[in-house]
Amino acid sequence: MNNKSNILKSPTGMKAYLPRTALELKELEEMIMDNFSLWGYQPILTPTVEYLEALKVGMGDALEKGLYKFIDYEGNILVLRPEMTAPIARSIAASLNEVSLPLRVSYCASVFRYEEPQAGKNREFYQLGIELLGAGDAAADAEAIILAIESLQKTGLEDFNLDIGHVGFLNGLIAELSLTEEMEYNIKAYLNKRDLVGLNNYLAGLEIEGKELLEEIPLLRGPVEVLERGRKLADNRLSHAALDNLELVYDYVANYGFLDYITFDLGLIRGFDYYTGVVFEGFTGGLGYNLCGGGRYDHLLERYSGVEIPAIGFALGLERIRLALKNQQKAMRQEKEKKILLYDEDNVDSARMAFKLARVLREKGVVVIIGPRSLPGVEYSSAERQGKPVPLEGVLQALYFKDGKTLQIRDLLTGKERSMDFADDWEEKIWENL
Amino acid sequence: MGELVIALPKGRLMESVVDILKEAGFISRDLNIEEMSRKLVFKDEETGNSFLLAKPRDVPVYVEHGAADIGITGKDVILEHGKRFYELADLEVGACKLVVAVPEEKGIRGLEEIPEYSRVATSYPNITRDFFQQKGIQVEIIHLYGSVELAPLVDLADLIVDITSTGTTLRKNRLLPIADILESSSRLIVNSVSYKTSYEEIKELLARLRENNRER
Repeated sequence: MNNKSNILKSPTGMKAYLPRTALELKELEEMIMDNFSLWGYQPILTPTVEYLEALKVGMGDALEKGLYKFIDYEGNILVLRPEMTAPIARSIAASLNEVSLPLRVSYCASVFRYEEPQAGKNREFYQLGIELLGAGDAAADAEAIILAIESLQKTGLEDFNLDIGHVGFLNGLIAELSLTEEMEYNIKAYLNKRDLVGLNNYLAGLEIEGKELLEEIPLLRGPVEVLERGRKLADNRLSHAALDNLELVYDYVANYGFLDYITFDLGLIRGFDYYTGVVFEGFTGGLGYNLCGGGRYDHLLERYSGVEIPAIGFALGLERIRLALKNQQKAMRQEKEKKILLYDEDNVDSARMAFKLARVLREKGVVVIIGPRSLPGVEYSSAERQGKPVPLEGVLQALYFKDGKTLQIRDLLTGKERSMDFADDWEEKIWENL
Repeated sequence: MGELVIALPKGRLMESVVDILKEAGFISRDLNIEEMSRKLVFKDEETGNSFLLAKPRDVPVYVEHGAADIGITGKDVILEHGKRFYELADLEVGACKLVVAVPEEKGIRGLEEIPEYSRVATSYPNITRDFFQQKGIQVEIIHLYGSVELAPLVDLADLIVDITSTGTTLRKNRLLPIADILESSSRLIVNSVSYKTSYEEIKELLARLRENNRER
């Protein structure tokens, strides 16, 4: 193995974001986290690595193939967290005596999935999300859905939509038709992937009365009327309870004014095996991937702690939101105006004064960079400045201590220059001159 | 009708696929297929749909990433690519089989007679690897992009895994099919987000395809 060839590479599917992009991502993160906190959600931090056996309790075996695994010195199998819900559930379950329910937590964290190399998807990516633990009613479902919509809305994104379903609807139908566990597994796998060819071929080989009900499921998507169609189709308590739940959610979401953002999809079952109730996914045209996903998981904490604690949560893909905003040509950040303070390399005094002045300016929130006068691109004479690009991104003003007594202030966009005596009262006078 | 971006498979499937889409009203009838196949992308002003012509193997890539809303390609290609999109309908054209074939003179008549560490030439490395792994046979896979039947002739490989519809090419090269891996036909695949954003159009397309299938 020639290691040298890897020196400049990030590991496959991992990415370094340089400031231009990182700033946009940070800004989005702040906007969304601020909104989470308006709803009373507080941040939670969990370890980047977890024990495999701990995650498997929560996530089942399904995800194991996509995990980054390694072994610690004691021989335990560790994994890089592939999502945040199970780690949060585990952490809360481990400290139930320290929290009071209902608990609202939020996170922005990187998660790791070993996606197939050709998928063109990142293997490390950033998720923002919330978990609402200890609340099991439709109002909590609506809270999660509304918060997801509102958070996307606050980033400036337009033209997005959430599909809402309920795993209880399909589970009710499956019980009604008394399918075996194997049939249930296969049918759910086909529906999850929307492999309608596979589903129809599979159903054609089954001798089961009423199986045409299952063929109808992929068609049950649309506005709220879909719930009525579902009600006519299913003749069991579980499915009807799921529909009652969805109707309440609809009522709350519509009442909040977000009716335009939701669609019902009774065939929606999300990949994770811990979901027990309402599930939802958000997407926007022009981006081939989901923006967000979430749902209710009422038994996950019980798997860890033995105590039943209903919960719901969702995660938003930070990088995907940024891509969607780019697609919609939305500006993501207003760059903060910066100033540069220049010193002479052969004059220690001028550098000292630069530090002093910078401190005063920064105390008022001005962004100040300190640099040598010989910095490429910071030509000093205004005549030379004409028509040349501004040096250093976002720097609009250069300040320079000429002979240690006068401060020259130059607007880098216009090249206009003025000067100010650097006398004892400079700390007051400086603001008039900037 | 709304506007979909549809990825069509260039080559042997193209004509029958275009016919099916014409019948379903998703390509206007007077569009000339010869003229279409000379372009990479074109817009059908009458139906509002756009079409991009891609190699069958690339169709899943366009669809997966949402560059095309829907696409048509073979089940063999879908399985080789791995499924990260929705497969909604079987168009029942372009039927073929993926088979294991050996040179006649080797005298091998079944999978169990394949010597260990045989070299298998194929343009379906993923399916081939999974297949032999499931059967518990260790083989070395040689990935070729085409004319796979050439490999045994020049002793690059001991056997091949390739698609065949009539078996003529295999026979011409004195290759004997000894096992079927899968049966394939063209499928309609859909990007998972387009499925939602263009749900009505796609539902309409599915309904018409089903109707026309029944009539055939």
